[in-house]
Amino acid sequence: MLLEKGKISNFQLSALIIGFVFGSSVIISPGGGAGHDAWIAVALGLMEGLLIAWIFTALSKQFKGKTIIEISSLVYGKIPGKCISVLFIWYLFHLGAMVLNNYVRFFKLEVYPATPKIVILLLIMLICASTVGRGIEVLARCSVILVPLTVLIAFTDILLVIPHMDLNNLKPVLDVPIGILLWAAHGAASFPFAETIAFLMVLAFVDKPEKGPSAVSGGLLIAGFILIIVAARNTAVLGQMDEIVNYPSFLNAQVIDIGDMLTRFEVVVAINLIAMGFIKVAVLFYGTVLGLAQVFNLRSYRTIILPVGILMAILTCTNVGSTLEMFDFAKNAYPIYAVPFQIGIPLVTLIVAKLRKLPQTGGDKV
Amino acid sequence: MLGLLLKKLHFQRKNQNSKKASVQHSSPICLSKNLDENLQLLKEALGQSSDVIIRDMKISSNSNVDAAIIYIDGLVDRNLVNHDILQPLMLNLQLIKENVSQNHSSLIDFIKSSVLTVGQIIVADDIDRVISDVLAGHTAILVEGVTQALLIDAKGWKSRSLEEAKNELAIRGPRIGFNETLRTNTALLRRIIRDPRLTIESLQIGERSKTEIAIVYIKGIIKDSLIDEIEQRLKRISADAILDVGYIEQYIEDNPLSVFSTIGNSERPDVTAARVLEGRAAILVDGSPFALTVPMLFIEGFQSPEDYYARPHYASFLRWIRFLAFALSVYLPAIYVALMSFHQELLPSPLLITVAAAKEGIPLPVGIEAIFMIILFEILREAGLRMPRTLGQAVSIVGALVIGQSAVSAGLVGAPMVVVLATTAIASFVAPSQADLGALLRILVVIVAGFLGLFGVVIISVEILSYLASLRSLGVPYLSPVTPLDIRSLKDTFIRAPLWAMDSRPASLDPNDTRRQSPDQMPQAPKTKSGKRERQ
Repeated sequence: MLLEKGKISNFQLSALIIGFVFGSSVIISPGGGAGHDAWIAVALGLMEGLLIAWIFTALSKQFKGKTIIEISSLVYGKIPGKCISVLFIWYLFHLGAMVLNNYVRFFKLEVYPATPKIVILLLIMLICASTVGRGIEVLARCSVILVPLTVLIAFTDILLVIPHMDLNNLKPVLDVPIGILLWAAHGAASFPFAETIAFLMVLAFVDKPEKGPSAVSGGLLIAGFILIIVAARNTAVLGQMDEIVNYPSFLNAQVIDIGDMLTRFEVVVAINLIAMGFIKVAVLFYGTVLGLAQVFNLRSYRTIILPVGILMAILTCTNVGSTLEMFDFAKNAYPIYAVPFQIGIPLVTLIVAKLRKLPQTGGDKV
Repeated sequence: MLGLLLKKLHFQRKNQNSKKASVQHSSPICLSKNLDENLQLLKEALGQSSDVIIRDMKISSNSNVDAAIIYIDGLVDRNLVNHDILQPLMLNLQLIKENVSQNHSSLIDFIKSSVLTVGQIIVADDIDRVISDVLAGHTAILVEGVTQALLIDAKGWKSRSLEEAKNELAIRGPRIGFNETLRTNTALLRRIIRDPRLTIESLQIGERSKTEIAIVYIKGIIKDSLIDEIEQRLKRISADAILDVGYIEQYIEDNPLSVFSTIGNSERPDVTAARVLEGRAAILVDGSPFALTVPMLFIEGFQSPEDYYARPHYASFLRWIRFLAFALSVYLPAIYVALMSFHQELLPSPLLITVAAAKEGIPLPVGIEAIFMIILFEILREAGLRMPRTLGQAVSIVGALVIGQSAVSAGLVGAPMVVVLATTAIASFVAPSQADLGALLRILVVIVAGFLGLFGVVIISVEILSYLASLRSLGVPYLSPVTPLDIRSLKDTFIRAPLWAMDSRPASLDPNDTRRQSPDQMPQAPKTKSGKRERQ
């Protein structure tokens, strides 16, 4: 019984990865905490993210065409496997709610102060749900159009703030104590790079699985490269302010001024980022409903889109009390909270699979 | 909900029709040896209509064999019937001294092989076939004592002559357009493509209209499964009548409830031929001056025949103009509404002051104003289209002067809104095939922009994109070759590459033969004495 009949190409997978990594990290800059060395933290985080990606792509390469849900049933046995699957699904579900929270609170604070949060939340939720209902193929096709557009806007944005940059803000390089830098790097790895662990639900549908790992790392590298530039840009433009403001990338766009004609078009930049949030939430949402459908042996995942969507919206409304609490969680708790999901589950599964010499029939050894 | 209801209705209707059909086609009645009996049956079936002509006569050398010809007045060429059917039968047959009339069945063979001087003759022995062919314009000959009828193709009726294509205009390139006669249209295509593998398959659809349908494709280029799929979809149509290709379009779409048309059409033989050569199939319907082409990609709405006849740089530029115009026609009013009601800071201050001054004292919120003006424009457009030509001036006077000018001076509508709407209207005419789609999307996006500003515009755009990405046209993804990406086919998407560079047919159509030309078609300057190639 096949829950998802679609196939995506490696190019589409890379585009999805880029969109996913951009996700909320274009609003909340990763690498915070490392001060003016944020870009180094992001670069180190990218390394860690690539290592983690290597683990989970190895896992999915070993079990071709299987999602993490099916893999863990095979590796741990039926009941323990399902327990682990439910934990993993929880991670996707909770992460989806957190990303939604980032977006909703950002729009409430910066763009639409008078609009109720629930309206923004439900609209993003609706487009995600309708796309997830159309299957992974459609989501992947959307990303092929949306991601190049966003990259283009990001680069235009960078070009336009060049007059406001002061590269002295980046000096002295590597000034931050090494402990703090590493902690910030791990923070940047856990958000956003290692979150691509969610693709354990998507990698099964790639049409050339042997090239999946290079597509994932290629996407991560491109996205990471742009995020490094963005981190450096934020520091160069904003200087000390970078650490203080909540949304440095947004503030960056505010300084743009083209011949006194186009000013304050940060709204345009910000709104274009919805597209990336859409890809991230949709991938997480897709992973959640597909995972649940596989755990409970449903005939189709489309039937549970509505209830899961409502639950995700409710979790978004209730899981944090304020924007500051959200930032606190993201900076201090999330890098630790995410470790078992991002590293633990794939690494342990891979080791156990190796020890049990799985899969026994077919499938290439890595 | 609506979809479910429609499906249910459709299903019920289909059941009823198939019952009806099974009753009608239960037992084919064969012709009997008795001529009078046959004529009686035909009269019963064809009724008392005044245009049914049944002409009795006596043929053979000693005028002792009864015969009759049946045709429908107005559908046949009278000259042909008189000179090439009646005259040989009644005069020439008598000149022949041999007594062939002894054996009736050899008589009909003799008539067919040696008497009638017309091209296409069919021998039929079942009365339903005779009736349907007579109704299609054939002339039937029945002879006493013979259980077969001769059906002669002597069709000839008044039809519009071939004229210039009216809706798809081009400055360069052929001018001719299809007309309402199926045979003329297939001949136009055959004249362009003389490949023996150009196949024209015929079907009859319509319980009552029995409309002739032709599927045109090139064997060896088109993907084989595509033809099976088209045939299958056409054969399951069981409608009363097919009056135009538009009927066929609605019966064979992949996504019947979609706002976007996933079936292409053209009224130009050159465009249709080009699409057939790319690996598509064309569907022609008798009585319609349009050809459907399947599968259709979204990008086709922005391609014009002239793109391929003009120089590539300008053609590519025009293609971008068309994209831009379509984007403007959908988004401009929405962006204006969003800027005025949510994001005033985006406008440069002097412009904002001007616009705000113009809007002062206008009672309606800008969103409602926009919807009001859009609907007014659509009314004007529809009025201009539908009413008699002679009244056309009145509409433009009332539309432009009374509404445009006086609504602004009376303070009902802001002048900037009129400017925005006029731009939108002009832009919507740049890609006419997308104009109806643009009108619907425009209203949708304006409503969302009125409630949610640019955020809403982006949300609805992502939703539209995701919907577009899910559409298919006979199994081919609608947004290809952009997504799923096919780099080679991009040569004819955002740019129009020179013809010598377009070596392969669009890969998303998955043609059997992908190569369009040999790869080294770039023209070269002749060699000079020194052996180097010289450029101009």
